Amino acid sequence: MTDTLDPKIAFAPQRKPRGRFVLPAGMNALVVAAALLALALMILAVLAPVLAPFDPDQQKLLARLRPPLGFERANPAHWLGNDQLGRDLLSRCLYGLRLTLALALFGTLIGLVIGVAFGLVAGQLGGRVDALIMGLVDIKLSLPFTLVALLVIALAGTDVAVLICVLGVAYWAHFARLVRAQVLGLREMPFIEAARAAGATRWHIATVHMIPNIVSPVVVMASLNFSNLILLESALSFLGLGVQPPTATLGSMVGQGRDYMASAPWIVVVPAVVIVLVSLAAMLLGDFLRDHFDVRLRER
Amino acid sequence: MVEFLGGRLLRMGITLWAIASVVFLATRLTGNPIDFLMPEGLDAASRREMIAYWGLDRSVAEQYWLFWRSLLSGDFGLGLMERRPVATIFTERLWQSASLLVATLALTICVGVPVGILAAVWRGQARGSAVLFTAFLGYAIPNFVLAILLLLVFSYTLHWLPSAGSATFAHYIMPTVALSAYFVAALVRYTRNAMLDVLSQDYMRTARAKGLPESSIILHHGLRNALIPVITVLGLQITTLVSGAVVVETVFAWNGVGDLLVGATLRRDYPVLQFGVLVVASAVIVVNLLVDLAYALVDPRVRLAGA
Repeated sequence: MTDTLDPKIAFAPQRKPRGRFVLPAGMNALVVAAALLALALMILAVLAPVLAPFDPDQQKLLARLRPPLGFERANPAHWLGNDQLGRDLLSRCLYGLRLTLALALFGTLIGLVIGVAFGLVAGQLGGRVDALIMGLVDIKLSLPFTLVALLVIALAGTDVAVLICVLGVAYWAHFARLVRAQVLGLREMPFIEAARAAGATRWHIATVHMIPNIVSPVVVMASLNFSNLILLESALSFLGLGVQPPTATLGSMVGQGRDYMASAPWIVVVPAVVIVLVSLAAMLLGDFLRDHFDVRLRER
Repeated sequence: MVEFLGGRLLRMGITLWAIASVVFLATRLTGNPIDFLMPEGLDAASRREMIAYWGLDRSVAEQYWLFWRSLLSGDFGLGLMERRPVATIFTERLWQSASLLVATLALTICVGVPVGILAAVWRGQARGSAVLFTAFLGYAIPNFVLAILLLLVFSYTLHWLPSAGSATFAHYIMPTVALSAYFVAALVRYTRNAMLDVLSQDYMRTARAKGLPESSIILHHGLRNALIPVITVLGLQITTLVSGAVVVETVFAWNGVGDLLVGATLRRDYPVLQFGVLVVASAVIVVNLLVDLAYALVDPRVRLAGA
């Protein structure tokens, strides 16, 4: 629909010399900080079962609505306080972080596989197949995805499998478009022509010669989409349409804590801060990768 | 130009047809909707009666035909919860959503473009980096988290602003800010980049050499040329804006379409959802077309490429 006007997905094959970041002066330290933060969050997520001091779903009504350490009435065993059912917020945040990151990762991988496959097929076959696939891409990109997600969830129910599918199809079109553009560029390259002249099949050319050459833009796009999927999953869970209680994700913790905002704001603030940290780290790294590899992609 | 417009209209028609068909198929293929609509323990006779009433006993092809006939005749069915025509329910709420979107767009443009220009002019200075970092924060904080934090500070703690509803000007402040933060940040970044591209052009040097005042150089020669990519980006962000509004409306109990659709999803109110997806998708597609046209009118290079 916006073919001719898109700030076109383009990838300059020659890399800029290392060390020349497009980020403004003073932001390099920020990138390092983001990398460390991302690493810390990943470790916390992976080790959640070991690190969490309590069972995230265990309710203790006597300890309900206790504030974090440092506030009056705080319970020293529960560092970040307790929620409306007395569940330990630190443990819930750790497990929530783990689930949020896992869902975003699954979603990114599914979108990547679908998108790369469609993009390769469209670019390699051309003609009607290409027109059909790009028509689908245009339709996908012209819809506000949240609406599609709402419809799917209303029809298929709120289930983790449904949620993963929704997250998986959220960004396939972006990958497909990127890969197709790359393939169209590569097809004219001498080494592909040579492979064709040597009698290589289209399948062989696609898998052996093309995929290795499109890895870096695809990885950059995956990292950008990963951070977008974190936000999409959190928003859906926040609305009560994602992972269902009692299982914790960061979004659902904020969503369910809303009712206690006046009396126990920490129930909302603690997971909200974690979401902001995750999102900041993921976006800073995504931007850094994009600038570093000089890949120009469409914004979300 | 006619060819360009014709091609676009044809594609728009195909897109709308495909969306409507997918919506139809999705609602019919995932089981008999009647089982979601009726209370549990419905006896078999009443169930048959209801199925016949809703026309669900006919073949899929026939239902598809009926679906299009009622769509084209403007009959979109009754909302399951409110028992009123879906179109009426929407019309009542459309204005609410539209006013929020207009307020958001206005705030986005009024803040995003000037700040973006400043960020470009201040390139390499501490204040330029500060602006960029703030923009990055606005970019990374999800709208619902920002909305919740705003509520917590300005409503629950300071008691300055109302937490829900849309009656007065004060009601608009928090939803508009929560919804526009992302777009302001995006616009600052785009305007900055576009300005930086333009600032290094030869005609900017010429303007300086002519002895024009700096403000006139930036505004007349710079901004005018930088605005073209900015307009496109705004157009591309419409879908994101609509998605964002769905969430923000829910947080502030804003009586708009987004709030309606989330409620309809939770209650599985198909007619409302079906209509909502169709209406919002059509609106977004039409807006995109208008942006394309505006762009083609502004920039002759696009017209040549599109025709």
